[in-house]
Amino acid sequence: MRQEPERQARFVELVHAHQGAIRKVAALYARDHADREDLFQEIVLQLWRSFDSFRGDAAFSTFLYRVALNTALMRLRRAYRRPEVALEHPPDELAAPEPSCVAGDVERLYAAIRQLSPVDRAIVMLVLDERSYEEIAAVAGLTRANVSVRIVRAKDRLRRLMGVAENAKESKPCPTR
Amino acid sequence: MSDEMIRDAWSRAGADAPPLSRAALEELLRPSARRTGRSLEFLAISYVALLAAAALLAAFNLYGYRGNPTMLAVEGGVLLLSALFAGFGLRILAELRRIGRADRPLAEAIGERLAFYERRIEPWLAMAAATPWLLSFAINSLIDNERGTYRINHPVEFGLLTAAMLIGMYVVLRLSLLPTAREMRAILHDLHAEVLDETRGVEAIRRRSRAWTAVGVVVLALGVLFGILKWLGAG
Repeated sequence: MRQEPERQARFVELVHAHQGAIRKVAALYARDHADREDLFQEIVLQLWRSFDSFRGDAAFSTFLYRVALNTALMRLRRAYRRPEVALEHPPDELAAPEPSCVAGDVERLYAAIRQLSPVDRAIVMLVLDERSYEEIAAVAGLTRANVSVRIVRAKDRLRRLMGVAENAKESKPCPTR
Repeated sequence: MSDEMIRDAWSRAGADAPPLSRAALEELLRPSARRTGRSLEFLAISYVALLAAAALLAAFNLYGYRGNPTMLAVEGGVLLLSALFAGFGLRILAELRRIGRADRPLAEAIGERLAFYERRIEPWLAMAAATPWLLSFAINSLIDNERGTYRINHPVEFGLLTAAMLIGMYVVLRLSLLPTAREMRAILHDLHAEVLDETRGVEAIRRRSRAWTAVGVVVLALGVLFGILKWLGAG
């Protein structure tokens, strides 16, 4: 159909402009660099499959975050099937992000956020991306009150995790690829 | 690390890998690069196709056994069941496509998936377990139509084989999907209560389910073997 190339071009433009957000989702829910790239591609494909349902009545970012986070959560579920995949530390265990391999503040921040539960990771990411409470509630499908409580708790945990990471003096740079 | 430093670090996140060009993004959308990963949908489509075949053959058999009231009733039952099961399968397929949409709010998307695995999967598995038998019976009664009569020479073995096939298929299908239902329930609980410990229990459940799946496969295989040996002995 003649509209297909135009639709694809519009989709590519939107994703190109928002691929930073997709990269952040992939970084927060993937286990390693290869998994990040895999998840990034899977999210883009899911966005394309769902693009027909985007009517433009809500912000593209809301649509993008929903698709990206749903895709990441479903992938997280499949990760439990692989026996070699170690389970995350419980969120209350304030273990420092791995000090043996950190590559600056960004990776330390990613590592700290990955210590949170899957939902809190999503909420913290949306808060750090300066989304409104209403948009966060719309993405997560929670009430605004629930979101407010979770934001306070998640930010508190993140501050403590980052504080522990700062105190871990034996950090050394990650090996370059 | 202060909130300001966290925000500063975050502002640099997402740029840790070079951005993909528009051409690279278009390459990702090429059909050959797409993954399917829709095994449940494939199962549903296969299920509907098998039932359509069973219904078609049963319709032929209605003509072939038109002078045999007993077989007319039996083939009519096969046709009716096949049509009903196929209709349910089409509904399942539509629901799978709906819950497969990733553009809904997280809690809603996961809640609907959970509802599917809790309420739809059980009756569908029962129907799916009966489908191979419906099709095989329709085929056998078409092939073994002797001038409008159909004879079951060994009714006891026939009954045992039928039971083994139905039970074995149901056990295998159910246990292969049960861990998924438990995982989804755990994820949903995580969404609402942040109880991650429940998801760790999923691993233990999966190990037990694999053992029961093996038992189901052995029962099914023994039933088929028994039937073959009996058939060879009768020949």
